[in-house]
Amino acid sequence: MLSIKDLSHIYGNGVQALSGVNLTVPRGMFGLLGPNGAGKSTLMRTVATLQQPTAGQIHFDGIDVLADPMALRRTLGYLPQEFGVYPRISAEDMLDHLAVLKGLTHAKERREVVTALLQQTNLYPVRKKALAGYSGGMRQRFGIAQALLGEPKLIIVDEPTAGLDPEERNRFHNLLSEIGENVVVILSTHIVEDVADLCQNMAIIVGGRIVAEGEPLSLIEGMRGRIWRKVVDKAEVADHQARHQVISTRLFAGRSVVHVVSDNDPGDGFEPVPGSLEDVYFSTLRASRAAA
Amino acid sequence: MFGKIAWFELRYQIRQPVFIVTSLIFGLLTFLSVTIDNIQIGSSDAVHVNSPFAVMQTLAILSIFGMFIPVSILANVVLRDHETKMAGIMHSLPVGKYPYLIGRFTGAFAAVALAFSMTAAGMALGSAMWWLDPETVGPFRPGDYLFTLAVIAIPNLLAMGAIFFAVATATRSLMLTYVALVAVLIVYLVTSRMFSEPEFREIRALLDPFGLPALGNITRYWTVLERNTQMVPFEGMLVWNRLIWTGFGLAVSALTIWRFSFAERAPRKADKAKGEALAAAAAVVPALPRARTHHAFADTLAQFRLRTWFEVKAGVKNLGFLVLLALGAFNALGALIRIGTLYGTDLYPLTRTVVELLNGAFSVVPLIVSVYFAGELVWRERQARFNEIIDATPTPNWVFVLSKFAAMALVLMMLMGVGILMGLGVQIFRGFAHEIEFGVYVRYLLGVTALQFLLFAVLSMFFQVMAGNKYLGMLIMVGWLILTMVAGRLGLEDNLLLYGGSPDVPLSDMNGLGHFGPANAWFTLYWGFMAIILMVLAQRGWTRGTMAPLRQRLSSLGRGWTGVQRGLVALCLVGFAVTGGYIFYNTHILNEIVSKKEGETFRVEYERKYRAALEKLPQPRITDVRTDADIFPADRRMEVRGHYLLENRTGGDIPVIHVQFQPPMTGLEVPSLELQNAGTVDLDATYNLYSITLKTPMKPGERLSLDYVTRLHYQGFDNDGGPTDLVANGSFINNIAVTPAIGFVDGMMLQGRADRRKYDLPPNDRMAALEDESQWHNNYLRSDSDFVTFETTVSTSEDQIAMAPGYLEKEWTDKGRRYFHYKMDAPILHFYSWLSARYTVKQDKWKDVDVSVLYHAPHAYNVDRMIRAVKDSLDYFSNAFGPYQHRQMRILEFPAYASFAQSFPNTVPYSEAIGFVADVRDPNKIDYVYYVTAHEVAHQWWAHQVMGANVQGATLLSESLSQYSALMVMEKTYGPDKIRRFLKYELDSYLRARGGEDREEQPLARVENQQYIHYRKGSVALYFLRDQLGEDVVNRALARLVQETKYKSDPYPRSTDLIRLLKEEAGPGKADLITDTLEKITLYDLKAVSASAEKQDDGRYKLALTVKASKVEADGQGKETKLPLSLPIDIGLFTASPGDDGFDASKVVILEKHPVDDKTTIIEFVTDKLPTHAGIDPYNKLIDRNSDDNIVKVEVK
Repeated sequence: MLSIKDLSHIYGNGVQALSGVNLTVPRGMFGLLGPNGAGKSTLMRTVATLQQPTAGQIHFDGIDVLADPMALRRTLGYLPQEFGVYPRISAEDMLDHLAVLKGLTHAKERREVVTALLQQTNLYPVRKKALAGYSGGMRQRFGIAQALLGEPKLIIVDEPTAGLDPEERNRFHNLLSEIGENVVVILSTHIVEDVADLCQNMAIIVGGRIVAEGEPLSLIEGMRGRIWRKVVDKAEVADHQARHQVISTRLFAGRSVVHVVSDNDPGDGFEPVPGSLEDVYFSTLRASRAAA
Repeated sequence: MFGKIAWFELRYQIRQPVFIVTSLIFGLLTFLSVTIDNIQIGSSDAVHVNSPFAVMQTLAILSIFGMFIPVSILANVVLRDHETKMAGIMHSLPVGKYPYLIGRFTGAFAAVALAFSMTAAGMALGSAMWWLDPETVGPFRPGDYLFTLAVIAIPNLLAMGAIFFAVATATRSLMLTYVALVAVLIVYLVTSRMFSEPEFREIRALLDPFGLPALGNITRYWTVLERNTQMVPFEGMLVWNRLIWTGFGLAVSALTIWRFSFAERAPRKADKAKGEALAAAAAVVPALPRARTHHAFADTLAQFRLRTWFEVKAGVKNLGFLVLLALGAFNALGALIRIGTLYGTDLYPLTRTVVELLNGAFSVVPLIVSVYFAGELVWRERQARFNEIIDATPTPNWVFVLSKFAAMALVLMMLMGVGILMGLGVQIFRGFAHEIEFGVYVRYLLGVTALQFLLFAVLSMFFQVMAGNKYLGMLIMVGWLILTMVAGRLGLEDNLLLYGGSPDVPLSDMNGLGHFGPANAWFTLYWGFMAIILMVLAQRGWTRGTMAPLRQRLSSLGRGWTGVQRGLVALCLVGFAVTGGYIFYNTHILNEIVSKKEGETFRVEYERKYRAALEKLPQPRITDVRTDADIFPADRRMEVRGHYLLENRTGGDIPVIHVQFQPPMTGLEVPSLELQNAGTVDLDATYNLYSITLKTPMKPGERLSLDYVTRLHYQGFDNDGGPTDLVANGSFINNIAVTPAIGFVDGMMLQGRADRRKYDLPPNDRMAALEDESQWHNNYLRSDSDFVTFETTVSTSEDQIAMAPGYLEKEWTDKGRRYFHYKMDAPILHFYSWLSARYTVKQDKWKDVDVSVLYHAPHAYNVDRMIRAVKDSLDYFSNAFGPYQHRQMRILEFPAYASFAQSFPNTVPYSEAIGFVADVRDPNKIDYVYYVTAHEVAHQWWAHQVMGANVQGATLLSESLSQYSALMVMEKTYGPDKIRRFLKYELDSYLRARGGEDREEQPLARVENQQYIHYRKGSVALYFLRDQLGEDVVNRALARLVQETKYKSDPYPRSTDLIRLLKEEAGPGKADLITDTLEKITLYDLKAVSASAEKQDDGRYKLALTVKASKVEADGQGKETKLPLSLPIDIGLFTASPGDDGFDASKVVILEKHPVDDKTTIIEFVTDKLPTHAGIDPYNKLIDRNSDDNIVKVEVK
């Protein structure tokens, strides 16, 4: 179990990236949802021992992460938000190399694991190809393969689906869902569907603060009966935004679909809809922005 | 549009840090070169710091280094859009390619030119500074700066910039552009070295991209006056050269712009598509097998091996490495093509010479590697954006830091390995496989040089880690390297204080690494400990993940030390302190560090304290010398017991005698000094000056004995390695080092004119005027002795032979030491030395004279040649000048710490660095071994019999006459046409050195120990005289000189005696010629204009040669006055050019003297054979300001 207490980080230029983050992450898939610039990556990097926070504490299964980063690294799998590759190195060689760095120093075991991971990530047929020639999706799968090396107990994947096409994203989700139930997997993303599809638990981070936390289903349950929908012309959107608490507008077939949050029927032609995680997210965003 | 783009580009560029930094650097460079004594280009004591010559020279040379400016600025023009990912936007703007690119190029080039122009600004500003010595500054002439910028610098920048612009455009890589820069630089330097011989001057003047040889050809023989007052005329080769390179620059730029394409490069599609297709096929997903991770030390070691191998592989695949390797190899080869060339003759490729050349050739490339690779390696993960993955692995920091260092070390070793292979290759190729000494390669190149580079590599990595930015790290390292170069000048001379500092290790075959090896090793060990500490700090400062600000990184250095780190650093600190303490003991307590400034002050104080009182004070003369010396080579120790007999040769009483030993800073101790009749002794311990008041003043004619004991013991080692005269094998100790002088010693005063001004000392004459009678009774070696009697008993270790002037009276062995008793039966100059080494002896005889060469056994190559030279010389000289005064003549080899030969009475110490290992097998080469030997033998007459008075012209009698004598012996053996090439070197070197004169040039008769005059001009002038007067006439005069002045000291002979005798022998008709040659600075300009031949009806050829000639007299500053000319000069017709290899007497059709005057002369011949070349003064006997135009090809009509 990962527990984060009062974690704050202020960058050298004065930007407060995290402020008083408290989070408890149980085993299983955990989604960290937030818009760009909310502090997701800072939080992920800090947990992954790649950044020292200004204040706070992080513990994982009895490891004081900030005091003994090396202990966490022995049990960590990390897929950064974006990563490049060395030129002229094949996926297999690179994976083997990283396996040694993770401590898989027994050659036979290492070979087996590397082969299995390449197969799991469906990279086995192209294992001899240079990583530099991989597409974005292949590269992400390589990223997850390396994160799984060494049987990590904590896996952190930072914005793994950004920039992937739907097919790639789907494949990637399948892969993530394969990962065992007994480890902590933190998935940070700004895409609601990622969390909706995969995570048993989640938190929403905005402006460096955790503004909502819980199981997606119970969060959606909390919105029941408060989400209303209306299809309007584009020209009418502004007018509706002025009159209602609009949480999202989306174009659909040239017209705008407006979602509002309201405890009572707002009238004005709105119809009730069952809430989705997206509505939870947008309404939370709206609420926290209004508060800020 | 074009104008706007250009203007925009210029404004953009001049706001970039690159522009600002380079402008500052270049401006500062010239500013400092003008305002700081130690950095000077193109000026000397007499040539103004801002003279037209200095301006031109400084800016032209800096324009080579100015290549760096266009690399960053012009490459930026094409690389910027791609780097900033603005290309898509910029290239889709509705601007045509040509206005866009040409505009940008123009703007950027204007920025380049502007940045470089700061050199002119810095120089002009520097010469206006108030603290400068006004005598060294000339008037401000803005035209000089503008001309040099416009004609030399800017075209150079354009030509070079065009190359880099093209490379940047073609490769889209700044790195490769830098590689191109290094390549151009090294190729340029190497080809310049390969074509440095005078015969390539014309072609280099035409083709050199920087125009330096063209400038050089024009200014080579410029005198001080010319350098101070005139600018280079824009004509001849210079114009062509500038046209070629400006055209090249414009053409390459135009071509690049034409070929430039806005289109993005297509990604390599094939691979990707294939991968995609394969990946699409889903596979059955197996369960992951169990695999445990291990984190024991052995596993970490496995990680270390893996990372090291990984880094090395990446390193050697790096294009930069391959290019640097190729450049290193090319550079090494360049150095090895001509080894130690003197008069066009190379040295044998002995391991020592090869290793020293490699060491020189590899002085720069490894530095580039350590600066460049440290940046590449340290930032490799971040550059590949793979660092977050790597940083999150449970691999300790030290694995990364140490593996990167190991990779760099291996790269450096590979570089060194390639150098060694080149060296071995050259040795084998030239048939010296049997001479290869692998031990020397290993001990020197790996044990000394490579370790030095590893120390740099550590520092460079440390800076990279701490700087937190690759370019900042490189900048800091470059800054540090510059600091080490100027540290000595800034007074930071103590090697204990400057990271990596250690004494140089000069090599010698006789003495190996000598005492320098251990000294260097101690410093290397000392800095090695520091390097380990730096590595630990780098390891601690190694950032994983996000780079924190510097303050945070520094503060985190202090936290979280592990026991191992603490232990290692503590251990190294102890090691550092202990070795440092030991070095301190050696360099500061056993020895001392005398800074340049302290050395100067020491001399200044001596002069201030004693000159007024002692310089003219009458003192007794030394008449008898007996010095016994015990040399302990292994201890580097020498004990001397000396005895002088002093005689009062003045007309008055002498109450006080001043005995001057070498000062204590040389290591000399004086345990005992006893003067007969001594009263009180006043000792100035700083200078080892004993002022002894006699009980009763010394009466005229009275004689007193002086007995003393001195000890020289070089203990431990010095900051700079220490003296080279007393060594384990090959000691060469001058008497001055261990025996006293009487009275004031001129040589202890500060000499340089500018240095003296700095300390407000009055200018010193280099020598007393020829007419200064007070010096007629002194010789120019020392003024406390005339010709003396001499005897020495010298002992050394059992395995060595100790030599000194004199005849071996007795030799014996006692208690494991060898003793030699030498005694002279004729008076000698008070000038001798002891040598001791494990010698091999080769003996021969000329008449009843024993001729021997004592040499280092492996250096037998030229021993027979030396013996022949000695015998031929004794033969010619005793015939021509008078009998040889001794019954022995010995040549003694000494280590390569110096490279000269020197003539003492009947002994000639001769460096192993020159004649012994010169490759004179090729008969076309100049046999300088023979020549130098003959010169030294000639000194037995010219110095040891006829010694000049201590006034101007003294060295005409010793050095110039020895040059003449040696030339005559060489001519007898090798023929007159071989002398031509030799004289051409001599003439060139004389004419070139005139401009470097720091006071005024003197004619030979008044030469003030100026080497370019008494050696170089002496050769040419005296050979010319003998050509005009005849060998008999000259030799008769010289024989009479010996007869009249042999051993004469009251007064000593002067140059006027020689001139008088020459004029008497030659007759009045030649008096003017002799005056012109010896008493004036006379220069000729001879030129063959054309030659045409026509076949006559009788089958013979009618040939007409047109020549031009003129004659001038120059004053000491080089101001010339035209004089009428009327002289018979050699006119020659040949079937080959006299400069060609294989030219000999058989190629001469006609060579005879024809009267020539200063009008154009046409000379007609009728010959049987058709000559191919014709010319005036073809053998360069005259002092001809341009000796390259004396010969023309014959045109056949």
